[in-house]
Amino acid sequence: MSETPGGLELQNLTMNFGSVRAIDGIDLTLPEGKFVCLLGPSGCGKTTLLRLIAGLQNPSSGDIIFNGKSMTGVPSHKRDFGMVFQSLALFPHLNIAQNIAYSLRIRGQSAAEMKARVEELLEMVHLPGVGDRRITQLSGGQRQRVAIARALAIHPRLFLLDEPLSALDAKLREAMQVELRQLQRSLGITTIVVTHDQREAMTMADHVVIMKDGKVQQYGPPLEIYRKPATAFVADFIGASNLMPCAVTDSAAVELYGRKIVTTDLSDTLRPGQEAMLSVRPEDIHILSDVERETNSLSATVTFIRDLGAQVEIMLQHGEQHLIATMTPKDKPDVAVGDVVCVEIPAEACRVFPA
Amino acid sequence: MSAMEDSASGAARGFSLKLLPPVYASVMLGLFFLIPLGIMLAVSFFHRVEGAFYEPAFELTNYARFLDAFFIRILGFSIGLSIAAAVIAVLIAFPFTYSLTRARRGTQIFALVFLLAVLSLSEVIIGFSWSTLLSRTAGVSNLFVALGLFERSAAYYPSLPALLLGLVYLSFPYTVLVLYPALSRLDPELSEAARMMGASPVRTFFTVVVPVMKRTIISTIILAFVFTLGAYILPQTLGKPPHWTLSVHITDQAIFEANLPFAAAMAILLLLVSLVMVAITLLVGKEDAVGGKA
Repeated sequence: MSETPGGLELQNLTMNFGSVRAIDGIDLTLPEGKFVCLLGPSGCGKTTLLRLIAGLQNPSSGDIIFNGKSMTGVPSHKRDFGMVFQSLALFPHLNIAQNIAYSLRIRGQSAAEMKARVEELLEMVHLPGVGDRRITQLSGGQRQRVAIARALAIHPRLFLLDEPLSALDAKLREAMQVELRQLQRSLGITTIVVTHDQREAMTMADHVVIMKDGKVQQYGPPLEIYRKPATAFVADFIGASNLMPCAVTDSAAVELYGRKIVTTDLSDTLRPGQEAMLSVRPEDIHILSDVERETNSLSATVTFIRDLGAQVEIMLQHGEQHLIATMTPKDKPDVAVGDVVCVEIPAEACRVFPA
Repeated sequence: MSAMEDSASGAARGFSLKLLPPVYASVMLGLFFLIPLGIMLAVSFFHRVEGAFYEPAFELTNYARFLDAFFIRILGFSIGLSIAAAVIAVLIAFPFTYSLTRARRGTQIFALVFLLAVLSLSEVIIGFSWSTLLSRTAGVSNLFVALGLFERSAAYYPSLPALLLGLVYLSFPYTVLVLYPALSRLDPELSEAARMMGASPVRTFFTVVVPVMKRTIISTIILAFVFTLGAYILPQTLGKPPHWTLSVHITDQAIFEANLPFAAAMAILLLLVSLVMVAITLLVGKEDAVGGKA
């Protein structure tokens, strides 16, 4: 029950389910007191990774070091971690106060101590005075808050949440994201959240771990991942990307459908002649209705215009290649479906990945 | 079966097809439950003819005969014995079934098939198997003697513990099969949440699994109680005459004494008493749930 939260280190962590390798040799150091999101598509191993950290499952090999101590052989009930489950897992046979006090009762606290702590926690999650209600008398958002309060009752050393907001409707979810982030910041507790929603991760996280097939694809602050995705998968998963097959021509340009695209991002590992993948964010593409450029442009036909009011999406096609450009309404070019336009791909907006 | 369904749907032409299930259910319920029960109720008021059978009448002599210290004591013993057997069976079956639902799929299927096989054994076979196992000449006590635990072999039957053992064995597979679906549906995250909050596996079992499944446990005890109440061969093979339950006496009256009216009266009384007990148990369980005490 240490009051100081600590950093977490995963060493060559591997988890096999039969012949399936759910976690594939993960090495990762998560800093103390930070909010970390494990993000990835379903089946990428993010929930399994969280369960390994929680001690609900034992890794096939590798080690988890918390506060400088190996967690191998430490059962989940002796780790002093707090966890919020996807189903919330509130006990239906107990009322709100008894649910929150469960971990305190296990630790033998007196009735007065428990009552004071429960009141403090309910205050913290903005639900004062609901202690003697049943779980069934609360709304989804209120249950969510109770589950968070219950997990934080013992001042856990590590706070784990498995898709905690997935059951809430979109509006409530956005509000809870902000609230959860503010709560974590005020407590300064090391927090790990599993999510498949990149918007959620961008809202809450100090650091994001992008996972795919049991491996870490990229780890870093969300904006850094957004601006400099390490792989084509990350570029596509975090914010939409236009991915186009291209060939490297020299140290500063690629060839895309016969056009020369100058880029500032070519890494040394890419050799001239090599097949590659060019990625451009939809908001970085410019549509020019009248001008024809020598480089960094492509002609395309407008196939659909989605005007969402706050944002405009223009869908384009060049041969078999589909492209999306997004912009604010005031930047919307004067084009219509069926027009052939010139698409500008700015050199500094290009990311090139090995194919 | 299909011929019946055909004629039923033919007759119901013009009716909404939605009516078919409730109509079918009521017909079957009437045919196989209400009519036999009605016949038994009627017979319980009939007049017994010595040396012959019975004749239609309306008299309460059969019920009056039951109001006698001897039969009341038997009724009390039968109910007590069935409650004891049902509670012991559920006490053993609940942790067993809980572990079973967390075992691998293959293990689960094997155990369930095995239990179904045991369930298919008749009371006669179970009674004679246990009487052999508990006998002096061929029973388990010989094994204890061989292991040097006892000086000489002994017979453990007929006795009350032997009878209780037989009844628990009889109702155990039934109890497991009733508990299994409910325990497999229990959200494993509830137990995991308790573990994360510091509860050991044993503490999790008693503070989360058992209270959450309380209603299931109560209804399973009721089912096992009713199930063992009907046993009439085990008391005769594994118990002494004082351990003969009301079911044994009903059989005795109906078959050997040819006193069907009295047998019917006893059966009706047994039915009423067990219904009252079930009602009380359900009411207690309900009040508890509404009261919200944990």
